[in-house]
Amino acid sequence: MKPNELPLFILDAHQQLDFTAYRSSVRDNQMTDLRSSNKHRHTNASQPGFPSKPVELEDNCRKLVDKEFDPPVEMMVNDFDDERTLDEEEALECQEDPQTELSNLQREGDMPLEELLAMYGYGDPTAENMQSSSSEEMSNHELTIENDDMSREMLGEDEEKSDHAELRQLYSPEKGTEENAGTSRLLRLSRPQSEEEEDDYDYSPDEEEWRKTIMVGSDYQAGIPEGLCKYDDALPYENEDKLLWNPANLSEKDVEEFLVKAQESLVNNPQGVHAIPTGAHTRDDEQALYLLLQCGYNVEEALRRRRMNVVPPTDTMSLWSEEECRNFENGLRNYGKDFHLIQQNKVRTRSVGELVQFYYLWKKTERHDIFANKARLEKKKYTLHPGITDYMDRFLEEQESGAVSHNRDRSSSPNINCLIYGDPKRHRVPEASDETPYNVDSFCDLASTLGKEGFQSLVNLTAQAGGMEGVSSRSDNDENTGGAVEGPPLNSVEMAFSSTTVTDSSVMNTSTTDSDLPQSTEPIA
Amino acid sequence: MSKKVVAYFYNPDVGNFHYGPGHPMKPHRLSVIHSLVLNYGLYKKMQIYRPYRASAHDMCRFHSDEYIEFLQRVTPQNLQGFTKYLSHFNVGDDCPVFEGLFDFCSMYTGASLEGAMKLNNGCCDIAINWSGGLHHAKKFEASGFCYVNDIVIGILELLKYHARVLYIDIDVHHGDGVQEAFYLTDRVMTVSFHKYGNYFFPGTGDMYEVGAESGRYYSVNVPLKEGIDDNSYLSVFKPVISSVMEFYRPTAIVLQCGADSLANDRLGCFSLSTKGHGECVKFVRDLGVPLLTVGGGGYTLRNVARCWTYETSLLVDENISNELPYTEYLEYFAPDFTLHPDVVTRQENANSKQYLEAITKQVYDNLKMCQHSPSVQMQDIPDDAFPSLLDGSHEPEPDPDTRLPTAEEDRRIEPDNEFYDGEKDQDKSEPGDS
Repeated sequence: MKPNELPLFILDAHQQLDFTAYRSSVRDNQMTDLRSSNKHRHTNASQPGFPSKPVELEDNCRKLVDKEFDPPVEMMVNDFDDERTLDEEEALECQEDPQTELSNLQREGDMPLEELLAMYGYGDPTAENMQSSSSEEMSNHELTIENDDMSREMLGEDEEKSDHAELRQLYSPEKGTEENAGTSRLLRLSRPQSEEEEDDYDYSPDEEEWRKTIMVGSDYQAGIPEGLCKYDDALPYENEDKLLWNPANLSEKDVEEFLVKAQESLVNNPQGVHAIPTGAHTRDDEQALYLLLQCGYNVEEALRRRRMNVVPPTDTMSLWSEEECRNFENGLRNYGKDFHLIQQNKVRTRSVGELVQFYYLWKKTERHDIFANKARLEKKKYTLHPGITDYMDRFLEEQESGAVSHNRDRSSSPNINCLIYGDPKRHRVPEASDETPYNVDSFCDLASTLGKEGFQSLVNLTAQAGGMEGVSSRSDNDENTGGAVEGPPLNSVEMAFSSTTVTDSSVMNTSTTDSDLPQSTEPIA
Repeated sequence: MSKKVVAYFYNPDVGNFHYGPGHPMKPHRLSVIHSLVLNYGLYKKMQIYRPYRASAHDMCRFHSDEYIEFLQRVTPQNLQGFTKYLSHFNVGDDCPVFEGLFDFCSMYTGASLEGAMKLNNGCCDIAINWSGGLHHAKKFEASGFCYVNDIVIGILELLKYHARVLYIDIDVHHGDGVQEAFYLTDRVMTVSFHKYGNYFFPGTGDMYEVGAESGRYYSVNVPLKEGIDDNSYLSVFKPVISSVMEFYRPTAIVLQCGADSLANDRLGCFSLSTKGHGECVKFVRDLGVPLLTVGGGGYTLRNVARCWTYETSLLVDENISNELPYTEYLEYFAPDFTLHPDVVTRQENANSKQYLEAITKQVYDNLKMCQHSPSVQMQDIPDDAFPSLLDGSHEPEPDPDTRLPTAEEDRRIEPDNEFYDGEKDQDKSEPGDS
């Protein structure tokens, strides 16, 4: 990190650290307190005879701990029942055509609970079902027992057996009234709901809780072909792939010479995107090589055809018009990185895929810098939010988080079910937006009222402010670029944008550093 | 060693998907890698395929019909009509419904499937599909940014020709989807090196998860702690893979090269450098077994691009310069513009030498159990896909008691760089067997 970047994000990072520190301390405390009690629950949950479904079970456990009350009998019974109904479902599945089943499921979802219960006739666990799953249970049993043994060893806890009997009693008696069966079926379907209750981070994470077990059963394993089989159907994809290049037929030297010549022919005949210099080195040209392959590796023929230039530049990244660029930026401003919405409402001339591609190229251009600066200025002025280096990212994320937190507030809750939980960017967002609620609409209004002149003066303004804050990582980059790359790096998109006026590149604040890089914790003076 | 034939599978559209605002998985990294591969001049060294796109039928070789049908039908626009299924199939947070979701799955899955097929047919020694490697997807549900498990589908294809397939996973997350899919079989050994513990996704991958039934001891897990550096990692990786090769003797390998095990990954917590990560790939390459290389995690775009570009160069056995060539994405690699930037991390290495040695020992002890396991079916001999094309005559079924009929052995094509000398080699070096 460059020292002159420090003052910018001070407050923010500081608060953040406090927050996470607080959170983890809470978590640690809870962990030690509640470890043993949770463990017992888990161990018992996987007793023989109970097809173990740790996911649902753990959800329940968490829920219980959240509320800090003792697990009522019905709750535990529910767990058991849940499994049985699942078995029943699976048995039904075999008989049904998946097509009709899907539609049936949809209909059932709309039915009131009572009807559903009646329809499925719960409360009559057939011996058949029990039998069919018995083998799974066995292996499951083996597994969990094994895991438990190991974890006991690892944790060195030996006082856990004490409560076994008590909990076993909760499990062993007759389980499963009709009512329970019905609700437990829904429990699985409404998993997000139960997760919402985890929102408070003051529940106890116990090792047994985040540990997951590999599931065993026909729902989980792949069907392995017995022995070695032949291709059952005649290679449906045999002819659908496309060989674009094969190096086997020409010597490397010949290919390289061909590529140099192919590139020359383009340089002499610049057109479209190819008019942009691509650096001193010879890059592998996909089209040229494919042409060579099509010409049966006849170099002369390939070069001749290439010079004829019958091949139109099929580069997916054909030049964007100024209007398209502007619309794209407006879209980004309005919808954040929802490229589908941008496509639908702003840039109908391009596919979503093209927008995505454009976005990643655009992101490292001066246009983006201007865009980001604009966003930053607006923020400065109207929210007085002490910032971070990459305002664009920040801005976009806050927009995102706005959308995200409406739907699901649980992003701050540690959750093993969610890989995205580990994303530090997700953590920063909620508390940041708490302190300064960010109003997207007002920003948009403002941005739209800004004329070009106003914008230019804003840029100049930033130039001064930027000087004080010393945010420019661009100038550093440029130095390095000169050393590291042959010739000045010319970005094709920058070239394409040359029509737009960009005055001072030192104004630019695109940090190439990501905003999740180390941040300062010193308070602002 | 003579250079291997490398086939590279890339669909130019696969990088133009977007998981949605704020999602750390960025398919566009694939475009960046491809651009680097072109500009480094690696492209011309490989067979290049624009791969087949997997059909729903292909996906159902592993996944359930209803799940795949759901993936096919759901779009961001009709999401409302599917609300009940979203949680059922675990689609939402981690695995959002985005524009072109099924196309994306179909592209990366098709590439892995075709890679496996080219290996089966002996068209190449190494197949590369950086868009694949989505190892968390389960039979009935999406998980951890993964929808369709292209690895499982690729391995199922390999199993048509190969008696024993080894799966190696160096993603920072446990390769739970693949392990689960093959948990009960000895025909696939899964070996995963990953961060384990303390809420780290996905919560499986304890070293005592060893498989079950016939698959007991055929799931190998190497749980690691955060901050592991190159030396520590390789001090576990190499001996473990060596013993796996010794005991299991796979005839094909699938290597998942998740790049989130690199230092400073947005979601990861290891401290590997691109060189250290690449060293694993090189080690597996040098085992001389047909290899399908797939991507996986990796959430700091510039580092993923560096890593898989470097690994492409390793697989084609070409030296490339540390200085990155000009590409349209050059600015992403500021300020150093190098392939191997110095690793700067504040992450302490929480793995003590003793811990790593203990794990290695444990894995070794487990592997020793393999040869005592009751499964003998793994000695199956591959049938060719088109036996009639090759020899025309229809011989009677070989005597099942004879381990390797000569006719079968003759028919079998073995690559020059085969790891072991035919079936009999096994008896020689397994003293416990006689």
